[in-house]
Amino acid sequence: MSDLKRAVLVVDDEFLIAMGLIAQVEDMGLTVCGSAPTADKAVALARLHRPMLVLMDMRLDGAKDGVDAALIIHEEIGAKVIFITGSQDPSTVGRIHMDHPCAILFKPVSTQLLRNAIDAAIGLP
Amino acid sequence: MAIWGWLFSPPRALALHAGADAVTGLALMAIALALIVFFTMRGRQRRLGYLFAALVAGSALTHFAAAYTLGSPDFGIELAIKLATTLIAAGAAVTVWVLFPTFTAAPLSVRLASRNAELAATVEARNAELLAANAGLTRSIAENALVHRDMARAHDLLRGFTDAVPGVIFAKDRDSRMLIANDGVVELLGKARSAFIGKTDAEFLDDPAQAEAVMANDRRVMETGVSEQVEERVSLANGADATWLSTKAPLRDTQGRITGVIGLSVDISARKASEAELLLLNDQLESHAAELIDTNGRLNEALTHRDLLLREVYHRVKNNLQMVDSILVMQERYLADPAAKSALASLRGRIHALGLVHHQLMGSANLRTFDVAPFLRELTSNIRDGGASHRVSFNVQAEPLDVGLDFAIPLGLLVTELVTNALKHAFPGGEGQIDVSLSRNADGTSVLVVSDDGTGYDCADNSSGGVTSGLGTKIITALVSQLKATMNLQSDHGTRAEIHIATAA
Repeated sequence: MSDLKRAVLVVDDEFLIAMGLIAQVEDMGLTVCGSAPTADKAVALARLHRPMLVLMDMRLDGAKDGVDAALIIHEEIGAKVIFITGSQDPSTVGRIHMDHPCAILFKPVSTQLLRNAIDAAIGLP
Repeated sequence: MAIWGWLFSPPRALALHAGADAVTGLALMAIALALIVFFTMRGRQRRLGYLFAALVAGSALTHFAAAYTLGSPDFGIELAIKLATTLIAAGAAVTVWVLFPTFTAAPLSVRLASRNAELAATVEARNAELLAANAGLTRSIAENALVHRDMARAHDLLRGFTDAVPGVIFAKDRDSRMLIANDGVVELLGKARSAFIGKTDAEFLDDPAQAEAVMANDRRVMETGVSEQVEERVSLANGADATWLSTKAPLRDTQGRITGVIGLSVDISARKASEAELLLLNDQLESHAAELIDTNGRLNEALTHRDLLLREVYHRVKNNLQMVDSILVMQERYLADPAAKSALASLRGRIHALGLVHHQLMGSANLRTFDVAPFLRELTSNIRDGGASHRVSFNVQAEPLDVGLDFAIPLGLLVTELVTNALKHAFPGGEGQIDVSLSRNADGTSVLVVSDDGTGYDCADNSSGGVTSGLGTKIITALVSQLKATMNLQSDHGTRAEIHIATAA
């Protein structure tokens, strides 16, 4: 964990949503190391930047979803993962729990709830 | 005595001899002739008669011979005739003595009289016997009449009984010929008794197949000697199909030998028809049930599909709201004016309220309604967390109440506006309490109360709250109207908004 960069990776296939999240994270005084629309890209960026935290959307472009990416990232890098999903059906939530997420937020997410979750995960400056 | 001397003088005495012999011979010949005629006519003892006749005739011939020999003595001829006559006489004598017992048994008249008496006695005895027999017969006839009357009575009773029993009663002989049949049979066949008594089913039933089946049943009962209950098809006189429940039993004589079959048949066509109808109904029901199960399956499938679609829709709504929220976040970064920033924050609050409604729907079992109580708690909690101050406490009192989208969206937005307003205006010092309650009346209406213990403010005063407050008031008015509600606003030791909602949840 200590070798991880104090940075946040944002994973969402909706570009505008990713931008909004990036803006909010930056406003909290954190660095965003990148954003990815697919699971493969997310894994690649995570391997490259080794961020402390990943904001992970559930549905992504491509065949793999957020849980596929989060499982690899969690195992290989050890980054914490906050899921931000629009879905609350049991199958999705069940799949998310396979990854021992540190939080699940449901869209649309308020800045305050996002802040609370990030603060709980890695501590805000 | 001269005459005698004259007569018996030789010439005359000789002539007299000859004359006497001739007359005697003629008389005897006449007698012999008479005997022959008599016995011939009589017929009986003819041989004896002829013997006598021959004897007499022989005597006659000796007399003729004597008369003849007187004139010219020829002993030879007379001797021959005499010898023949002697033989005949001896034969007749023997015959007479042989027959003597017959003749001497009784003289005919005596015997006849005796016989007559015997006969009279016999006739009398016979008569008495006959009289006795007659009396017996008379008694017997009287008894017979009684027996006959009893039999007739028994027959009438049997007939009345068989005719009164509903259905068909019959008895048939060993060859299945009808012996007895009640009115039911007459009615069933539509024929006179004479048309079927003594005849077999094959002869009096119109349908050969039906007749054969019935006779086969009769034969089986007669062969096994075991009573049976069988269903038989015998069409009615009008040709209509009919099913009969027939009870058949062997008919036995006093020695126990099977001499025929007796039976009772009842028309069960109606029962069969209703059974058939029931079976048909059952089939239909089963087919309906299968259809229902099928439909149910398809409905379940459709429902699952609908659930998937609804979840997808809610998901997309939330994603789009997130997208709008993101745009507002980015917009906010380019604004310097605090009032504008505040207005955007209010907008985001409303968007989050909408998002929360869809989030609740997505989590509910039926995807259409959800319990309003946890929704209100989460909504107010989010508003508080989004606000600057953490020193305002919230108290949410809500009865469990399932609400749908049409009720929850205006309600959620209304609560968002009122609570946001209170947070913004009621607590200059940053501390206080906001109470939110939703109660339901028996008539389906509900009452929403949002109150605070703050300084009090005028919701309708646009000047104090700026743009946001003015928009908030408009939104509140619009939502109250949409919910067919009335709002009562009191601002005295805090503000209390009491909204009576006529729209059912």
